[in-house]
Amino acid sequence: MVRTLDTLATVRMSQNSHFREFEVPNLAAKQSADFYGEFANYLPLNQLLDHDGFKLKGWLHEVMRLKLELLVSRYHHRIEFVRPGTMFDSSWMTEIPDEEGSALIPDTQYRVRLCVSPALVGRIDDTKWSQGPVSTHESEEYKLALLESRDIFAENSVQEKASPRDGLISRAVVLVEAVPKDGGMEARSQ
Amino acid sequence: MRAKWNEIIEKPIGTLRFESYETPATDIRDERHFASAVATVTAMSQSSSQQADVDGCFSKLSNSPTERSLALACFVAHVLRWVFVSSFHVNDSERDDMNNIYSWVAKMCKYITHEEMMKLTIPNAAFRW
Repeated sequence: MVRTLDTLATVRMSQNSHFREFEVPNLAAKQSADFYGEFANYLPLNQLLDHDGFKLKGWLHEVMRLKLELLVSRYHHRIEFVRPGTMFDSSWMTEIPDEEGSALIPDTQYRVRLCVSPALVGRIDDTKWSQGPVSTHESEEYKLALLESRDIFAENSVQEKASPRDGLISRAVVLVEAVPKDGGMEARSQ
Repeated sequence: MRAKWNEIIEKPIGTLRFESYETPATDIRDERHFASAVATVTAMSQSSSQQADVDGCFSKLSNSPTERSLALACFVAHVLRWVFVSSFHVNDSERDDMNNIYSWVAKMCKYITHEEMMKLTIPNAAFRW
């Protein structure tokens, strides 16, 4: 019911030509400017965000297109980060070499120093869109799928805390460090 | 989906990771705009993004992450959060021919034609207030 009302309100607002033609682009431009402003202030990466190997705007567009796909998918996707100090688990994490170029040594335990990129997890949501992917030809269905609120960041959800291994689509990318043999509860328990 | 996700994620990791970055990590953690990014990369809830929690999180490690890796992680987290949580996304250079964001995105994606999208009169999935 709330979603229906929300949809109706959105449809009504979007039919306002002044809103559509002037306010939307202005709001969008402002938010875009804020985004670039934040990075200009905080990242020395700033001067490197548009070079031959990496174009920030192009990359942002790819992420946006992915968002649209996730919104109309029959899967409920979650983005899961890994807390530093968590034991490395190759079933849903991938290690990348750090600046010293370390690589994993067999029979050694590792823990996560930093999650550079989160895991993507997708589970079928049986209660909605269970008949298949939302069709772009079914305008009503597509519209509702785009308007549906989806909580994609895992930490916002307290009720569902299934293992990321369940429904894993892509592993988290992490930096790791070896757990000292003589230190740490996890190491001693082996 | 997996291939697309990996392709997107590999770009910043592959190209930004090895650039020099000298600012101490503490400076990043203190910045207002990066509080949520640091909370995100440390898998904390947004409500508990306190400095003590962040420090406690890294205190289990023998070596803290380097500044550049923290900057990269925050960058990725910040972009993901910006795209997935915020309502508006626009390419400034294409602003003139864009009446609404989702018709533009849909056009880019070739999911449906621009005309079809206009008939739906839904400019943005995230117009929620």
